[in-house]
Amino acid sequence: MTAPGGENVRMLYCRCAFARVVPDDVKADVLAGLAASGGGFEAVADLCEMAARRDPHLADLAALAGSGQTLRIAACWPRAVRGLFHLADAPLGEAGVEILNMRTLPAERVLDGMLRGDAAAVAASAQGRDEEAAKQSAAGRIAALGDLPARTPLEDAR
Amino acid sequence: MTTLAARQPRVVLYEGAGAEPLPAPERAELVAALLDRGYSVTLAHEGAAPAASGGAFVVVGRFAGRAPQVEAAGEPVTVHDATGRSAADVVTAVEGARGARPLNAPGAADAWKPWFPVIDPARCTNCMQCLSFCLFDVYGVDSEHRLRVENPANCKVNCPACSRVCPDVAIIFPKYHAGPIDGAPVAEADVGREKMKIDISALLGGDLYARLRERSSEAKNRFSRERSADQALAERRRCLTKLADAAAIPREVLDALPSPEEIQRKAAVAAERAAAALAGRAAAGET
Ligand code: SF4
Ligand code: SF4
Repeated sequence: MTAPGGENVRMLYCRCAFARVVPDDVKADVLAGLAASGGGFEAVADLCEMAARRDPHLADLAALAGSGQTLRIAACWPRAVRGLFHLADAPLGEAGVEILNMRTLPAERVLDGMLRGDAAAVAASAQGRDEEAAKQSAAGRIAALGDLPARTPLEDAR
Repeated sequence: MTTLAARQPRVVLYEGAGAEPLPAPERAELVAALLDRGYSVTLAHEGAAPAASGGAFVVVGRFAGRAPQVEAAGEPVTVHDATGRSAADVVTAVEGARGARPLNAPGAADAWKPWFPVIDPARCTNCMQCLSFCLFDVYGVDSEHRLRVENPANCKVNCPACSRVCPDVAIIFPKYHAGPIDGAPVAEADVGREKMKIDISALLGGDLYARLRERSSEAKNRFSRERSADQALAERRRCLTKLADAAAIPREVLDALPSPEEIQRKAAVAAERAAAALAGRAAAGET
């Protein structure tokens, strides 16, 4: 269950299987990257669902982080993830826990954080959505669909 | 009331000594298929023999016909040799091995969608407003009179109403579509906005549920005059639309509200519990 980068790292991947709040492509690419890394990891169908049942497995994971190991979690907003562990009577300490936000970060950044450790990605996970970057990435995706017409129908109508 | 099993069934995918590792794409496909069925998965590489603990009931690996003994405390563990099997075959075998263990499977018609409030302990001041607001016994208090989400499964799916009554923006619904309710950072402007929401409910009659009660009994009176359930329901819907918009309460939740008398009783019980918790905190010197 150790990450390729270090003996003392455990990785936890949340599939968010009951909702579509994490982009499908990010979830798929992060899982593919973890599976290709050569390391072991924990994967859960839905961290929210586990927290609701106060699944003792969460306490096992939280205890790892309190015992000198680093627990890296690929899920969503750190405030939500910490709240879920707290609800499950398995609060996460500040030290030894790195949460990567698949709702806002691209898969490569999440994977970098999970496999190699990336303090900047962890910090970015807790920050607000970068609306400008989101717009640019959406524009990039639209452009990738093919050459856009020079003028949009809306402009033609003016 | 939905009752949740204590543990989610867990599968160990073993690739340590004695098992041939799966090619990476097949590994990802199998793990994804199991997760999407609702299982947790541990991908294990260590140990001469696979260990199964913490709710794992099946160990899967490519053992080439030489399935190993599994160290397990307590429950029996099935070992499944996945040599030459597709991800779909393995999922079918795991389903068979699960037997009568309960599974909350995403997408199943009777699945419980994990929608419930999550408290940000760094923001919560234990004012108990949420406890006195909720009619469905979602909230309770712990032995130290601190707020606790006691019955998450009682929460009404897609209803984030209680997050609007929290003056400190401490209530998160992780599967909500927007911040800060989804857990995104809280800006000063958000705190102001949430306070405004409370003012709106105050304008509507001080206590949202008192207002609901009033509207319901108006509809009930009309119902007895008109003897038409459909008309009464339509009226109740019309009257409640404004309130639903103000607090983002889904219509189904309003339609599912109990009788006015029951609402009154539940509101009184919730208010009493909140008052008792606050008194307990005051007596313990906590504010
Ligand atoms: S913790 Fe976040 S990513 Fe995981 S199931 Fe809950 S909302 Fe989805
Ligand atoms: S309303 Fe907010 S601050 Fe008050 S007890 Fe509930 S979560 Fe905590």
